[in-house]
Amino acid sequence: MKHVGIFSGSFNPIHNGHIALASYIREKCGLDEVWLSVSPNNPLKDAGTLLDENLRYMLARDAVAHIEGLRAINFEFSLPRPSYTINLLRALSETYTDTLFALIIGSDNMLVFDQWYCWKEILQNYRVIVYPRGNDNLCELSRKFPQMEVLQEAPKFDISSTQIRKLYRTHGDLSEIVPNNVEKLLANKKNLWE
Amino acid sequence: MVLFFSAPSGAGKSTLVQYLLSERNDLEFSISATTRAPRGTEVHGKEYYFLSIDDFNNRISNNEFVEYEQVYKGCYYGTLKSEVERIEQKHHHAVFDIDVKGGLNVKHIYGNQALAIFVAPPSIEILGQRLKNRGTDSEEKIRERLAKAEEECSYALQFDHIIVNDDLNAAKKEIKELVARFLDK
Repeated sequence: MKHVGIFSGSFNPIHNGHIALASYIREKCGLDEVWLSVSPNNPLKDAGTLLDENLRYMLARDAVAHIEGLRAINFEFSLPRPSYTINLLRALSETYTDTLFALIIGSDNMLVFDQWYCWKEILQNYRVIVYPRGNDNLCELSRKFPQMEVLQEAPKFDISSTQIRKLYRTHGDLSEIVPNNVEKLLANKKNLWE
Repeated sequence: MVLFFSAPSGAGKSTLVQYLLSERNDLEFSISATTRAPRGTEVHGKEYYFLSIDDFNNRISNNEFVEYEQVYKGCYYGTLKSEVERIEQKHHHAVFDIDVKGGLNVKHIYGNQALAIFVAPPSIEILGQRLKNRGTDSEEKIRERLAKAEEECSYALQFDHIIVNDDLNAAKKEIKELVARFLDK
């Protein structure tokens, strides 16, 4: 069986923190691959800052094309909305019968995990890997969800989309924090996010 | 209303445009002019108007183009005004298949009367494979095209919509819906 970690997010846009984290988790957790699952746009919820889903997917796909063990997928685009994680995992398991999927979440989501749709089914059927975010108390959370694998030692890759948007607006240097294709795209577009 | 499609070479844009034309009878393909040589079974007046560089330059001087662009050195593509008039007279919507930068020019001219669609290729690896399979370009030319494809993807944000052609059937469905939303509103 192949072992694949699912790292779902909006990737708005993908940045070097996402890539470093995905690669770290892949190695640390012995996964064959980590798939970056780009979440679709939600016309009812999206504020003006969310880029088009196809664009976010294209950027993520091209950014990780040359990175071993990583790939981006747009599998969620064709699933019924609202897009629930359990539906994604079920659909992936049905499509890729030779693969065991693990779910990768941030500790902020661990905090509210018992509010997720079908969260018990997720825990029962899938390995759940947690990476630290912010100052969440991971020890306490681990007692609540002992089945989850918490990567206590994982480095924090503190880059946020907000930071990217801010740097873009102030014409700051993005080359250290986003992949080359994202940097070029942003350089070619004026007045985005205004 | 006009529709225009831009994409890196090999992204599958022609296939998608042909599909759209076969699905709707209110669209007509705007034939571009080019100085490049015909490929395979291409015919003058069908896929392109194949012009000599001198002829092309004369028409630039005579202001006969809506837009034109030098895509590679010595290789021009452009949209003739006469072609757009021909289609408008029939009360059809013109469908342009143009270079990414040419596409941006047309968007500036037509504003919200135009729907600008960028067709993103599958990964660069698959694109390279497709160009090899097409068998019309040398290896050096393919490398040149791939570098250009990466460059062109960085203009995707300027378009109204992006379609990622990873899966042809999904892309066909998406393009048909997009165009219907724009023209039938």
